[in-house]
Amino acid sequence: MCPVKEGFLTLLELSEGETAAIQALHSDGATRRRIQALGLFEGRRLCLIARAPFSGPLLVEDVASGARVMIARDLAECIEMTDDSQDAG
Amino acid sequence: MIPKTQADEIVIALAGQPNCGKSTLFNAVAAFKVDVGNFAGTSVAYAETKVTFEGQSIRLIDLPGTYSISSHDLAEKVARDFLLSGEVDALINVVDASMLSRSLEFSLQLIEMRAPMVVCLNMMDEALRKGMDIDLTRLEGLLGLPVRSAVAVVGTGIDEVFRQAIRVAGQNVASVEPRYDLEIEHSLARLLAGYPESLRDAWPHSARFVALRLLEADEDFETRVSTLAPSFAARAREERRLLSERDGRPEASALGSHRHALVLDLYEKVVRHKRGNVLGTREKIDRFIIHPLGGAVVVVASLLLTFYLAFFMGNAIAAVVDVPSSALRAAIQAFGPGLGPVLLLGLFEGVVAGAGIVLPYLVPLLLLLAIFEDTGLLPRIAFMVDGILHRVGLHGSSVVPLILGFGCNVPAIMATRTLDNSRDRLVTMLVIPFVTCSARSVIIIALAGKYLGVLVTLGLYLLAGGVSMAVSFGITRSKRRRSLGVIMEVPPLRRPYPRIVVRKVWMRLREFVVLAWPVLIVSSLALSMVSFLGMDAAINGALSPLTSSWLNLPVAVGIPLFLGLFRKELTLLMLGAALGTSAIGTVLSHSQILVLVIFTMLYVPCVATIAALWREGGWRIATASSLLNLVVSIAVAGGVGRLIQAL
Repeated sequence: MCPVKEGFLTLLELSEGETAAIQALHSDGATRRRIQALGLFEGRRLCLIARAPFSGPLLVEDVASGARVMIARDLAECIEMTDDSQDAG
Repeated sequence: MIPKTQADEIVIALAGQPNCGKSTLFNAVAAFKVDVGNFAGTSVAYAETKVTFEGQSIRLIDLPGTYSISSHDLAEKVARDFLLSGEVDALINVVDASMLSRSLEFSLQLIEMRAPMVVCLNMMDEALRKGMDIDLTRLEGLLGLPVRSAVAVVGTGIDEVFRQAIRVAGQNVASVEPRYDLEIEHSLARLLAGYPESLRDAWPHSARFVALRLLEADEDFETRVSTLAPSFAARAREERRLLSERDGRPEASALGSHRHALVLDLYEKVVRHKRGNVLGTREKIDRFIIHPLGGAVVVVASLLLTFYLAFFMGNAIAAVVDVPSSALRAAIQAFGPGLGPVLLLGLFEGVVAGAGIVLPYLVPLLLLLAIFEDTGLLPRIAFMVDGILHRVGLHGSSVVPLILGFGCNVPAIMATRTLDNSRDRLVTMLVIPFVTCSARSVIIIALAGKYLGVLVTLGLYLLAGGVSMAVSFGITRSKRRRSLGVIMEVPPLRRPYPRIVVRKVWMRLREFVVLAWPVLIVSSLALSMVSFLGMDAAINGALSPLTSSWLNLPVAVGIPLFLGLFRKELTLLMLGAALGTSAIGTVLSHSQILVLVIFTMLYVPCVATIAALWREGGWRIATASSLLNLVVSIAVAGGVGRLIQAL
């Protein structure tokens, strides 16, 4: 349902404890502003803290500020992450 | 309605993102007289109080928490419109210093609004613990407005914030307006050159602000400008399209991404990161809570704690009240029949119901709710249960309204406005009346807790939860459709501050004492009158097919159940009066009590809830919801009753 191309890494696919930067937010309008209002912009580095049980949302941390946000799987699927294992840290 | 301001008074508004400690700051300075009102024509609530600070009288208004002024959230829109109305002399932007970068996004938007403003960096202790060293003087210089630090929970720094707010009130704004890159500034210049008069009349203070809102694709402004000045709106859309094409980003980010860059730049200039104390213990507790198993333990343990506390504290307080009240009741009854003694007894029962039945159970519930809120446990519970809710066809964002529903259904129904999708909203609105609100909890704990034991009480909550889910599943089964899910902040765990918890409990308790108790007393009087005139038989008779034939209860419970429509607590109060004793257990069998509690728990919510449904969703939804609750409650309560008989 999101225009993320095949082969790109999305926030949903991070494993627990993994950190990556937001490459692109594949959404527009109110949803996009809602995501940004919580501080998730392109370039922010996010760490996946936990996944809720029963296919629940993800808990992610904005690494720089330490702010934590819970985000539903379908929204996380729209967030493309950089596959940057080489420059992590 | 917001009352008019007196001449010598200034209006100061508190604005900030959710969880920034705004309300804590408000409560720290609020006099004991706090008014909770609604913005004209909306259900968005705000708190206000009048205080005198160093000789200056102030009307202090606590606006709803807002992440951004361009959001579609109704509360955010209302807060913004109030700020734009020109009624505010000074604005205090409360900021969670430990979340400075995100908070500054909102601060910059407020600055663009050109209101006289002070920035209050709250939670400075938290920021220090995180190792953030914030250069206040530098930030003050860069923003061009006073920046003061505070720790609202312990009360430090607040005086200075207010001193600055009074100083800037009504003055010309000297803050430094954010400057975007050249392309955007050119776009703005082109738009401002042809800024129509019609808009200048509508928003007298800042044309640049309006142009910025349009570039930001703010739907609300877009609609309003399209009616007032259609050609200008079209030009703004064109400029926005150009910017979004240049950046290769969607139009909703045409401006936002650039503001974010400005914020990052500001942040880097004013914050130095030192090695903070690693938040070891707290992080460990948090890890435990968000772990599936640990989370379940915490949820169940906190529920148990709530019931035990309400049960034991409630019974203890009730026992103290019981002895003198029984003596007084006997004394009044000794006067014999006649209108005078009957009314006196009605009045007396109303007072006793508040003091002896409702208050003892309400206080522990409010106490725990306040602790849950202040520690940040609520969003974590939402995180844990969101997945389950999805299974039964509920929207992820429904978590927050549903949790609110445990307090009171009315604000819960209003909170469904945050759901984007009308189908999700409809389902959530229909499910909320099945969520056991605190008034119904009082009845459950006072009756089931007292006569049937803690296990049965817990079972009743499970039953209510199961029924809500079944209802949701039933409604949504036919038309399942995916929709976008929840996104919400999970603030750090914080320890509760007793002073603040007590204050919160007091504020809510006062609402009960001032609003609900008089209703209880008046209703009790009315019941006495009805009984004196012999009308109770008619009401009871009309309801007897339900109460007596189907539910196998005494005919006399008809009036308590009927009055429960007005306020649920009335059922409990009137039950004692209708059955002629507050020792319900001597008149009703345990299975009758169980059936009565189940019916009370599930049948049509109070008038206020129906009114809220009507206002939010129209009369069809209000009617449908009432019928749904009635049918389900009759079926479940009757079914359980028959099941017990069969066993």
